[in-house]
Amino acid sequence: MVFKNKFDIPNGFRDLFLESALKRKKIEREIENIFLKKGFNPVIPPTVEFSSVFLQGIGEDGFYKLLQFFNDKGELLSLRADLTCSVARMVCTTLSNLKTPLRVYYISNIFRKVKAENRKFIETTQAGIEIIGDSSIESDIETIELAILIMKKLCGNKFYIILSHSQFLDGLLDEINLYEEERIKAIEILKKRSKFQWSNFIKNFPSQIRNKFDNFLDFIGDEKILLKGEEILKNEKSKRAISQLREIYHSMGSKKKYLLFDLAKVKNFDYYTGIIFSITSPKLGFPVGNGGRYDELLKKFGRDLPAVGFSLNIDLLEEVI
Amino acid sequence: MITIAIPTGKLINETLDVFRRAGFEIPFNLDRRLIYSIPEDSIKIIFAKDFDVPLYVENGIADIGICGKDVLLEEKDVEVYEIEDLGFGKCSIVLAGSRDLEELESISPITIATKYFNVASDFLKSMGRPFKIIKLNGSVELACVSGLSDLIIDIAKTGKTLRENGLKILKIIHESTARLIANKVRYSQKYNEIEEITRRLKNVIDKKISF
Repeated sequence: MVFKNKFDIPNGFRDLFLESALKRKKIEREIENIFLKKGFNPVIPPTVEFSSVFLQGIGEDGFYKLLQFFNDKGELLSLRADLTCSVARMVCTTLSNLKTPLRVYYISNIFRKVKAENRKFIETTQAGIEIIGDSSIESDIETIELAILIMKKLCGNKFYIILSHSQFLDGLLDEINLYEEERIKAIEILKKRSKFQWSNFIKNFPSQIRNKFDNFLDFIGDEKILLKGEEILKNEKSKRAISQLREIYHSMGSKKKYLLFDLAKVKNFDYYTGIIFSITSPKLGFPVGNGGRYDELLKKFGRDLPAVGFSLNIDLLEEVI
Repeated sequence: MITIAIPTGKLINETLDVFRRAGFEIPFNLDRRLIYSIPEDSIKIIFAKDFDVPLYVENGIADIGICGKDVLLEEKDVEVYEIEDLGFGKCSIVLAGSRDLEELESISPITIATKYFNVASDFLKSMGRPFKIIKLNGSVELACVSGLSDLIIDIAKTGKTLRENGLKILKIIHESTARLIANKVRYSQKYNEIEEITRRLKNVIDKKISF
């Protein structure tokens, strides 16, 4: 009997019990109370979707992280790997008659393949919100403010929101007018934040471009960075991105101190089209949450609706609280 | 305070030398401790195995680290920023063996021993012939000399070890130098401090190269 003694749990999964389970439940409860108080409604998507739902959102790289299997019809299914994709799909199918804007939240588990020996789990729990059908900057601000509110409640003052905008980088790459292949290469370099490769890359461009973009990778810091970004980039896309970031910054009042800007950041999910932010703690080397605007994703599921949202990784949050 | 992961393998002496010449007060009488605080420079250094440096940085135990490009190529799933090429620690990942490739044409599948499983499998797929990889933990030359494998893929600096074991370089697969890597979150949070360290290291390195 091959399976005779397999009563332990597979790598990449874990049991939570006593204190660890109590802590988990408490965090979930606190987050849920805030979501409800702010007028968000719960959604519970199924644990399994057609793989194509996730492919729409997380792209080819993400495809290899899906835990997939075939159903009896031979259709390819996947354990839920991304809640934003599931919610987007739900809004465009099951809820297609519902009026927008919609404010929804979820607290559910997701599954992604990881190298389990690197202390990562395949199954993690995410808590997040999506505002669907609202393209205003107010909804961007509401999203970031909600993330800050929750982090303050859970972590006191010990966190940063690192704010970026996908259109800033897009505008820059448009401006230097790259071939498709070069653009992919540029993004690869920027993803690694490789200054030496970046200088090498722009070495062959005309000097006015070179001078302009030489220190582009230094655009990390407080709001003064926005001025620097504005000075060098004259294209509409990047300018609009900066003015949105500035508007968000000025609307934050006393919460300004939690914001850091990173203009050279490459988006970690294909579907982001506007602001992008990661929620970070000085105690942890990974972001405890991510968020941003994704105005093109729902179109892929059949409804042309703008949307913005964020999610927190509860497993990582537990490590910093 | 910035925590820096330093590899204990082949790069250790050059790494410490560069840090000392950049003015960091790294003690000369290092014992077997794995963590040193250097309050004068607001840094802490931790000593990790070469192949573990990216992992310590990815997890944020170290904010930045030094590791060879060869290690980054092998540990390609580890997500870190590769911020600077430090230029020292030059070596290559090579395909080596006792006979020329043409003489091995009739062998199928061809057996290759290596410490660099990912690099080897990417390279061999591009060669377009059946292959088998044996993953070893070191002294890879022995595999070829003793007949465990037909060829090896390993790191070569001068090629001396290979020559002394009757092996020759058949192909250079990748060139490698020491890289400065950074944790993605810490890089944004501590950008100015990390930049300052990078600048000091780069100054030393650029000077040395121009000699």
